[in-house]
Amino acid sequence: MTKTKPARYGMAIDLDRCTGCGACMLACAVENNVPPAQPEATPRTGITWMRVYQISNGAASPDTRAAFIPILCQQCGRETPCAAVCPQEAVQVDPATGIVDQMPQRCLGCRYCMTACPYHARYFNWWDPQWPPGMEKTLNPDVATRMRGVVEKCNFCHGRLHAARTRAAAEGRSALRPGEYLPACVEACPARAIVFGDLNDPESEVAGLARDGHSFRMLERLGTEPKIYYRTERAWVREAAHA
Amino acid sequence: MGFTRRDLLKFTGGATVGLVLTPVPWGLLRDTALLSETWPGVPQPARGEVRTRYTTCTLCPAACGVRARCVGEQPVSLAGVPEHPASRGALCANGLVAHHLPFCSDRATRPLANGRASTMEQAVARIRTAVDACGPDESVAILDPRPGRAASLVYRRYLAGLARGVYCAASNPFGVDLENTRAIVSFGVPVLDGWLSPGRVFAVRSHFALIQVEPEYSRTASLADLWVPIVPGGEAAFAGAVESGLRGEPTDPAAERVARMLLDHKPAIAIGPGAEKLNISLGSVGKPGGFLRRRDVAPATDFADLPDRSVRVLFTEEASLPWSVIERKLVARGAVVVALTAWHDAYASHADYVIPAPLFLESLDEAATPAGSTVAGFSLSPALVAAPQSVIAPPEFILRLAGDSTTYPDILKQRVAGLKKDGQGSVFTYADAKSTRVRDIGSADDLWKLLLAGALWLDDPLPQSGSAPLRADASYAPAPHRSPLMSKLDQESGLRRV
Repeated sequence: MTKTKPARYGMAIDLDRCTGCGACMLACAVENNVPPAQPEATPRTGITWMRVYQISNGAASPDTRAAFIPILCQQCGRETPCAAVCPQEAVQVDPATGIVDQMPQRCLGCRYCMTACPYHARYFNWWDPQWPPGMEKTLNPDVATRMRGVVEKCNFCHGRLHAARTRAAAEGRSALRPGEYLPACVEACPARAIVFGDLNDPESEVAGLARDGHSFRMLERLGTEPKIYYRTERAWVREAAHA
Repeated sequence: MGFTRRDLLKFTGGATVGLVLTPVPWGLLRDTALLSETWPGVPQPARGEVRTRYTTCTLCPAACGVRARCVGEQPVSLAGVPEHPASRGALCANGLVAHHLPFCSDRATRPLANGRASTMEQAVARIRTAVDACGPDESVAILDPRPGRAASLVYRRYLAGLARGVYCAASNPFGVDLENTRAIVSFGVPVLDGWLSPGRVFAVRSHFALIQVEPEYSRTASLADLWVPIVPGGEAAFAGAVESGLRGEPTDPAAERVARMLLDHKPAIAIGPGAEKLNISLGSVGKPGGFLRRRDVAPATDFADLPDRSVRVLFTEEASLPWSVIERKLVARGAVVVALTAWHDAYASHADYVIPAPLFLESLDEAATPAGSTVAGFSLSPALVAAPQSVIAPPEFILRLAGDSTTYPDILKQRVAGLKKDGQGSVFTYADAKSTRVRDIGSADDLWKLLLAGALWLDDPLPQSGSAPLRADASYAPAPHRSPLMSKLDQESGLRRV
């Protein structure tokens, strides 16, 4: 096996195709064993590794316009805020993939990372995970459930990355083929609004979309170098995302 | 020489240091950690062989192909079937979590008679009595929400054996040639959010201009090329204004703009209430990019055409019409409504009898022509999980009511044998994304096995003619019964979807 160049996995999300159906949020929860809401849970205390927000241009009808923006961990590539503040080293940036990993086993629940995250993409387990009776058997056996008192977030479906690497290793490959590893939200999006791949590969579709003139990154001025790119031809949506 | 206190301390210290150097404490730590992961209350995923199984979604008429990842016999995730001719590899939000439906609290699991628990035998006997008591000016009706199934044949046969049985359905012989359409003017139809299979619509979204005419700024309106706000109920008037614009007559500026867009993007179609005449003006019937005729199902009575106060006994499956429409057709006194449903909602709350039906994935079922398909279709939806003992498939219940010993799977096998005998069309198999002509498949049994393993039969296209009354496939409402995980959309985020 030859040593391969590190990957830098990222996403490009076409906001002009997102209908806000929520399929990505559900696929994410199914894949990563995120439990249904406790009765007391609210949008502030619920757990949605990927969350679709509806934004409006604020104008009155008939000039009103709306857009849907899926927000997930932006996988910051520089001075990753959550990793910088974690006292437990429970957050690490994987140099081989660029993925910002969260290790719930190390987390002590101080929630510094949640405070530091400029994208509000981290979630705290306020309750022990619970499923309706019998529904536990529908859990994904590849992903461990988390406990009350720890923080969790999107990790680009790490279980799928491991599975793809295992398959590749079994075939004697050290590198993954394009499209061999896809997070659940990418696979589930019925509008095909989410493209995933290696940003370091200039030939990849995601790298091409990242270079597109209509693409932007959330809160780019903070200099955190997110690996999630958004694309829209609607100027007001771009402005709202930069605010 | 005795054993002194110093000796005891030395022994204890030595033993402690020695123990640390052995694997014992580390093993204990590991075992304790492992034990803590299996304490009561810690969720335990299913264990077993991981395999892929294929089926067809029956939650709505879109009939999307489903790839189920199963651990042992239990599906743990659902996804679309790549290259599926009807769904193009996508599932909607409801379909993605359909394997959770058995765990919803509002599902019906036992027969109810006037709100009280009953046995299936008692329910059958009482309903049979009600059917027999039907007067000369009264009818027994079955409202079939998805005509063209083998189940529909069961309903027709049962009603044919009654003195005044009426089979009601909204049969539609047309599909949409979406792949060749260049413009769609939609009168309130959620084109991007619940019309046909989402995968099929989005696969060609960049090929057509979308004009959304509706009072509300809906999700479809937010992504349309043009949103035309109108007053509620103003669809027909606006469609008329667009027709005038197409003829070059002076009209409302918004209608004129829509007419210009339609003329610039041909072929174009109109969908939704008020669209029939507009389609004739657009010449969109029987032509590529328009509405194409597919193999017709046997004609049925439109429920709205039944005389008011004429239905004595009504059988319903899922809710397909507003209850107010249903109620108007029931006799004033002594009407009996039988809801063959999996859920305690919709019609069940009005029904005299609730007969619990199995859910998607719980029993062998079928999907008729995918909504909007330009050719007829048929697929099977095999059971992947066990259903509760007390549920019964609606056609099975009707067979029992009729005293017929044939089973629903027998009826399905007869349908498949009919397809093989006709020899028309081809079969798309989900596992390998291959199409095989029906005539190249060895026998009806082979065809049955293919369909059971996950496949879609699609008819050959019919020769087209433009002269036919047009009725476009209606949009389907999202399934009202929801996985517990839907809390992500309506409770744990701002994305309300109730």
